Amino acid sequence: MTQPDRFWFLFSAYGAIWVLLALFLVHLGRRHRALERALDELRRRVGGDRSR
Amino acid sequence: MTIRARIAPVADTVLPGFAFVAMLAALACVFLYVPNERMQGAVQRIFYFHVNAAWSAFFGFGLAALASALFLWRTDATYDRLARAAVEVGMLFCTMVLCTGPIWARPIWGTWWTWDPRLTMTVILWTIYAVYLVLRAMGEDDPQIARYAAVLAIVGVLDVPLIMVSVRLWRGIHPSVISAPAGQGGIQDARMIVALVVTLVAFTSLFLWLVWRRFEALRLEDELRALEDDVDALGGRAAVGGATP
Repeated sequence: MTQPDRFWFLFSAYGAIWVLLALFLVHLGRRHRALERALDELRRRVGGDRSR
Repeated sequence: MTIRARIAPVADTVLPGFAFVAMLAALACVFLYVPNERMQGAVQRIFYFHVNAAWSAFFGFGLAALASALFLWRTDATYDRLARAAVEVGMLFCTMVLCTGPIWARPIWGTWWTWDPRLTMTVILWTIYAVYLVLRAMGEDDPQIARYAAVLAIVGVLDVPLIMVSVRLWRGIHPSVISAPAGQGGIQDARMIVALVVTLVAFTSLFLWLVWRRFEALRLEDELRALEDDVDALGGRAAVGGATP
């Protein structure tokens, strides 16, 4: 196998690592946004309860 | 001051910056500093991230087993959250291992995959903790499911030492670089050892930061759920009170 072919494998491996890490960070970000939405909803409810 | 309060300032501010810088240093070491390995050429550079992803996965599953044992003993939800966070991050790194391994194997072994003992047991490890995550996703708040999952996390980690000794025990084709006896393969160049150590520091700090973020998110989710229950209960009481003449 020639050296350029091996470079392709090298960059594929590192590409896979960064893609997986990026997907995980996106997953964390989504969970965080869902948490913020739930918190806003709770604030709205508590605010509504207080005004009652 | 709780342990969490002591850890939080470092974990929220210092750790992500440190992990980022360490990862840049690791990439510089791998792509600019280390020499090409004589037999494998450039593709050997996969080794530095592959090995440290495996270390991080094992660390994650070990931490999850320890936290699960403490959860079963003390029935404190903090340990359960720590175990869950460690498994999720451990699974990320274990998936990295299973992706980078075949990419290295194709040019070196001439095949993407072989049922070598170490490879097979790594797939088993991945499957065990995938089942753990499925259990947690299905069980949500069920304490019984949390206990089953904790037992699974403890049993699953027994596969880690088997993976480590499998190369010598069953004479597979997977190279034993780190634990190779002197003069029988292993790392010969000091620069390769430096790159391996820098990458180890980078992966460990990244692992710790990700576990911390996930642990905090799980804690906030639990607190939010408890608050929602309180608000529901208060709302119900207010409704009953309002209906009473």
